[in-house]
Amino acid sequence: MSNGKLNINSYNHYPETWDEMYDDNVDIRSHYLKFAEVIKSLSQDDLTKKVDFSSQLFLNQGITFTVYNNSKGTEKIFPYDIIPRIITAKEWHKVESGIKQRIKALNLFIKDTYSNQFIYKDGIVPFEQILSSNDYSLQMYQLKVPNDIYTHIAGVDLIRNNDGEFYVLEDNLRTPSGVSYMIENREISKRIFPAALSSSRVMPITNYAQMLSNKLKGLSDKNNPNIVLLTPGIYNSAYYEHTTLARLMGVELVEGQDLFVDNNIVFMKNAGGIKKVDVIYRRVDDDFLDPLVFNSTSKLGVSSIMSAYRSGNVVIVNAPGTGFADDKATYTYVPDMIKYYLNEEPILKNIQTHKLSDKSELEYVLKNIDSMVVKKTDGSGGYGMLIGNAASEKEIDDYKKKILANPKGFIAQPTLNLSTAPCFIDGKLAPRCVDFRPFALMGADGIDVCPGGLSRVALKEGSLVVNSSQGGGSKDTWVLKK
Amino acid sequence: MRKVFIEHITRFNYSNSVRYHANQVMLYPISNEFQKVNSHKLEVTSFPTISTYEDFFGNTIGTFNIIAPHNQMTVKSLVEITMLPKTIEKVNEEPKEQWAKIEALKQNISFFEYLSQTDSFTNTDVSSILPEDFKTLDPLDVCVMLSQFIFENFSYQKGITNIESTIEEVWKLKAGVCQDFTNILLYLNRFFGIPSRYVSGYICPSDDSNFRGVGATHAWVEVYIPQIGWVGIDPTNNCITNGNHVILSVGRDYKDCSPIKGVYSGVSTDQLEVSVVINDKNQFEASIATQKKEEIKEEISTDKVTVNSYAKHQEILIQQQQQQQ
Repeated sequence: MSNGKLNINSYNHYPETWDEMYDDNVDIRSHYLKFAEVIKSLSQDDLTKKVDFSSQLFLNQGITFTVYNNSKGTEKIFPYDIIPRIITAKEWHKVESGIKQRIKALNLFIKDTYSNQFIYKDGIVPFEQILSSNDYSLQMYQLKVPNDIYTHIAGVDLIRNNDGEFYVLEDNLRTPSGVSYMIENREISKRIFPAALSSSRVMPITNYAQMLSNKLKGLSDKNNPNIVLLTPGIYNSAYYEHTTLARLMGVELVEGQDLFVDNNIVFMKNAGGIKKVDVIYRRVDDDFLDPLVFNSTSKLGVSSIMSAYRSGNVVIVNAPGTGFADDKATYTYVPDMIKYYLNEEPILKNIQTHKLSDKSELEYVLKNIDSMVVKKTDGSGGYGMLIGNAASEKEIDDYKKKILANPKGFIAQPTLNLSTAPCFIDGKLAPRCVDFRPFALMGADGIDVCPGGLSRVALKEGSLVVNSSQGGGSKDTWVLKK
Repeated sequence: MRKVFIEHITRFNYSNSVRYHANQVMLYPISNEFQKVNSHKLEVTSFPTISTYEDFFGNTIGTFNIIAPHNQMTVKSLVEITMLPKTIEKVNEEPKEQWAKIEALKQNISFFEYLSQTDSFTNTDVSSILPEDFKTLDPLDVCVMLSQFIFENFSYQKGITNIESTIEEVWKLKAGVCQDFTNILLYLNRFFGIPSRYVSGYICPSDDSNFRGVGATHAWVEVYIPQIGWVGIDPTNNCITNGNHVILSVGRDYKDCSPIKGVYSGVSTDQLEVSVVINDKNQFEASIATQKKEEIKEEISTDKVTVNSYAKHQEILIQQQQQQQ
């Protein structure tokens, strides 16, 4: 490492790509100027020390995640880049209102699907594909959920295309994870860039747990409800997040075996007796939630919990059976839902998506697969997707076979240029692709979007894959005040 | 019109005591114009509170919990019901029109679940079972033909299949019991585009027919014919149901209609005894409490392999935890 100052004026733009910090002339965008003032006074060594310091903080606090199918071991530190990604108040306003609109419509869509089914009867959304989704649950049909809320916690994945606009990549309405990294990343920024954080006037996000706790409290009709966080257990990749959220909210972290149901009431076994449970923030998937009605081999759930839920004696967050609404096949209809339920134009755009169940679309995609990203409709976490321009011929041929065996199980999108944000790599700033997952909380008093989110980074040069399971990292996201 | 009394007893014996026992029962006969429930009493040992709700298909489902350790659980259902004859008249419409109306149901969201297959064949082509011009026949006659096909080509044999058996396995065995016959007929009906549902219930013994399925719960199929409504077809007895089939519940397949299911904490092997007795006179004991204690059959365990249940449990636990999103 040299002792020289960081040269922030030299930067190798990716071609035809929007960069968060630099415009096309490699001039620093105005909302990054205050931050740039701070780092240009630092040496490469200073910055390297900040990197080492942040790694130690992660390691000491045990902030790790789990990668499956890796012979080198499963516990990893989530790679962290010290340069924050900064978003203006104006940009945030659009993102925030767009997410609120989207979650409102999706929540209505789930309610409609489990009650009157108007949107299907009116021919806006074809019912075959939705009702045949494995995540559509007849258990939820006509079940009156508290406050009519299904999607209490949502993480909406956005990307910025080269036109500078944010597009929605995916709605995560089941049990979105990653919020603990949003919180920890900010804790680290507070330590390594305290001055820049304050001079840039950044919206606070570390009260997320308080926001969540207030929303959860508001879901129960009790004054002081007993809230628990139901985790699958220590072997789950997001266990660290479960412990963090439970600790920050001051609620019990429980496993299925700590709970039982009697007479439609959920009880928690604890030292000295049992205690009624009113709200369950569960991080266990639907299928494992209640072995009596779902997967009978589940060891993670609570028998009869659905019966207690149906009786209105407990609130389950998120509601079971929301998965069909963030399915990649449903995604294509979200703009139609927004118009149908809210009579509004979508604020945030979808990415153009080809449904391969349609013959002509299938033909088009197979012909142009080199410039497509093909995904499984029920896949998550970047597993099992094909990036046409990065795949070998054999990979493409193999994938084509999979598509042809079950076309309706896939969708395709044109390869997009994700925007880049500068990362501190090998002593200088280098562009890397980023996405953005803000978190929305829906409660009895409405929807709030925490002003920030998780910016995931594809740390491999030129890569578009930001998933932590596929070699991605993250950075802090600063939303500026007005 | 026929009034019958049904006594359905299900008894679970556990080799070791179990607790936190959650149960779901689908033992509530439906009331409609062909079967009128006069009285129904459901009793469970240790008398837990049973709460009920109506499911997607309109069935009544009961749930209850037995928290304390127990070695035995008996569920006793006593039903007094009046059965009325159901005569099906020939549809006064050309087959072509009838098939068009059935085809139109594919666009109707309410029939989606009854037209969707819940199981499938990988290598069996069933299209040749019917003549190519089957749409020149009344849809109901086609369903009867399919039922007859099963009745003639499959032998009724107990003990060679179980509730987990797939239609592929049953097709290879060419044998099974009522639920296997029902599953195959459901598949065939849906394959040829006729909305169909699984029916769980009882069959009443009758002097003029020697019905299969007496003495236990029975299963058959209902098909939807637009001009008539739901019509029961029993492939095990090769007949259209008429006054002898008591409906407990309907659904897509067995999984929606399981009469009793439960999960518990504890390491135990269970032994299950089921008896269904149907009489024209009420001669059943009213309550479990007054019931004489029956001899419990000795459990003969065929599972002599040494297993490390702890290791197995841990392995499954870790696997499941990792699967969660």
